[in-house]
Amino acid sequence: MIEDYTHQWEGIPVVPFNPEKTLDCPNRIYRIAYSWNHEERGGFEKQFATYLSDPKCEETVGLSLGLNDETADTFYDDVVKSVISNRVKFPKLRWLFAGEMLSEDSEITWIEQGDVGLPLLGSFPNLEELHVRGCGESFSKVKHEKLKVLVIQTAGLDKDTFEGVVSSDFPELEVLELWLGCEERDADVTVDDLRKLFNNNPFPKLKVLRLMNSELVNEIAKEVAIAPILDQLEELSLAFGVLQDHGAKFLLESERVKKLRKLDLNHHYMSEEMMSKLEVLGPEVDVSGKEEADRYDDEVCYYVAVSE
Amino acid sequence: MRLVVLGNPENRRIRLFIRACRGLGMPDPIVLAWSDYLKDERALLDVVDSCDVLRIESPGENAEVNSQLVARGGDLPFSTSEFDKGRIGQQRSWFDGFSSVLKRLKELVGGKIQFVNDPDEIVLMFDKLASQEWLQSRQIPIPKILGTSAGSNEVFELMHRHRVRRVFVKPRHSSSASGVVALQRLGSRVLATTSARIEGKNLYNSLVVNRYHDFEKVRYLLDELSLENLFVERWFPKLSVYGRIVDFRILVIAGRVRHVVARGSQSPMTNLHLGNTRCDLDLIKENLGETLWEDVIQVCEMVAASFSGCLYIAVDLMVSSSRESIAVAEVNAFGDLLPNLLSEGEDPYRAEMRELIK
Repeated sequence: MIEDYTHQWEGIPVVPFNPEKTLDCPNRIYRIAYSWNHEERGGFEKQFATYLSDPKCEETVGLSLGLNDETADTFYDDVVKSVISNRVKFPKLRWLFAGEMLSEDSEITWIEQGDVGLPLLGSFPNLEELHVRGCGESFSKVKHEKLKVLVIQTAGLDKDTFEGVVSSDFPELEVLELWLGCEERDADVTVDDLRKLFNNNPFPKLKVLRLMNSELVNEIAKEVAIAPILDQLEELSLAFGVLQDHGAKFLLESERVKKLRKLDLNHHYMSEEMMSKLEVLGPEVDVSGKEEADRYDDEVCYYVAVSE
Repeated sequence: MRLVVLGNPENRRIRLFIRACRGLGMPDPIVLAWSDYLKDERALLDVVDSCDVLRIESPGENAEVNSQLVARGGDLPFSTSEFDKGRIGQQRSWFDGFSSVLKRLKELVGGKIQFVNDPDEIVLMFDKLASQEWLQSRQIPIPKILGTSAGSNEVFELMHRHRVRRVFVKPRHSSSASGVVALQRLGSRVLATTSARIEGKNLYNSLVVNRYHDFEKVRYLLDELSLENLFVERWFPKLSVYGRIVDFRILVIAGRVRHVVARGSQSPMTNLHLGNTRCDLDLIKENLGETLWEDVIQVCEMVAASFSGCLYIAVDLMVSSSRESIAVAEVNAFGDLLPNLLSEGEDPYRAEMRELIK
């Protein structure tokens, strides 16, 4: 369900890094990744050393960190740590994607992230966007004056990470995207945890809230539909989850939801009838990706979009 | 020109083929049933004198023919009962039977009749390892072959030795992704994605993709499949477009790329019958860019040239996720059953026969 690599950010093309060519920063953003087709380029460490030695390195505005290695014993945390320990080489870094891999590179649960809160965000005070893909990260709370977009994509988000994010101080944060995942992948954020965010939103400038890829989406829909946070939002996404009619009906009945500009419910298990009702609700609604439940004998199974 | 087709008469391949011949104003081909030929090879000799060309069609989707080929390969065939339906196994003996039958066929009528596709080359295409090695010897890009394996220990040992965490494990003689395993291992974690389903002690082909996370089960799966000769190749990370993993089935006829299907999947198994979809080819081509597509065409035509005894060949081709390179996943002798797919206004059978009578 993760569609593709990032191809551009703010009009700047994001391209694969080729260690044999010199950097063209700030006109290009590079994705440093082990390449199946260029084993001679080596893994992340080797390529990153080349990147750092280029005089244009300090002009870097964005960086994507892809597949680190093809070997069986490296963990992704080391990649992020390398970038942190070279923070002085990236004074102008505004966009960072840690773990930009598609399922054909690595399954999301196999990307083992470390603490992407204070150690990472604290190291890059000019960062405006942070995207993190992978599981097992933690998030120690941090104050960051410039962060506008925070995206954490997992198949199972843990309570500590969630608490770390919502107790952080992000005065400029406009977009918050959290993939909550499923219990089987150790997701343990509860609806009670989320209610705190809905009722006491700590981010004054938040406009876009995406609570995606969640097994709890029906309960979340019920809570969020009556939550004060909606009054400041332009866009709400409950995409990639297991939304069914019994959850969606709370969205349909909500005056607050009606006033949103955009409602993204892509990947769901709703009926055609519910889909057509939602489409005329008011906001621009995405109800694409209608899924059919799997049936095994007496058991009916609903799956989030990214769980492997 | 008079054609004889060796095939299973009840199969839609034959029906569609006859329709194509009629469309070209050719006389109806003589259809010789595999089951009749396997009972008595003189059935072919009887028609050879009145025909100029022999088209060998798939013996598949016919339980009786399948059992006969397995028996020729020296095995006791599975029963045709519901219990054994879709059971994986006997691929090796099926191949031994099929290859001996085709070799004998060539001895019998070779020189007396023209083959649409040469029997030896058809046999080569049913040996997935040998055909990949053959392509490699002709400088055609394929995923790197790490080795053959007699069991799960050897598979893991190969992964360890080559320091890779993702491989494809393939039965040497399977078709349609039967028994293929996309295997990943990182430390103590393992994941096998496969169309094979473990049920009791047996393995069955299933129409959905199964995922096994448990070492015991993965070992059992690999050990059972190893009875059929496995080889292990590196996992070639395939192109993702619009949220789907994509590869291509490309039919080359008379040396020229004709019918192309972009197969989209939400799992590493892109074979169409596993609940996957045909994608919009024009959109994908546009996404890939012209240069890369020209490379795709060139590689397919190189493949066709390396099977010079075949009028047509179906190439399964992959473009890498980085869009930097391409590789041939496999070649198929009977991969031209692509219903409702037209190239220059012709379906595959019509295009093949028009080239033949040119």
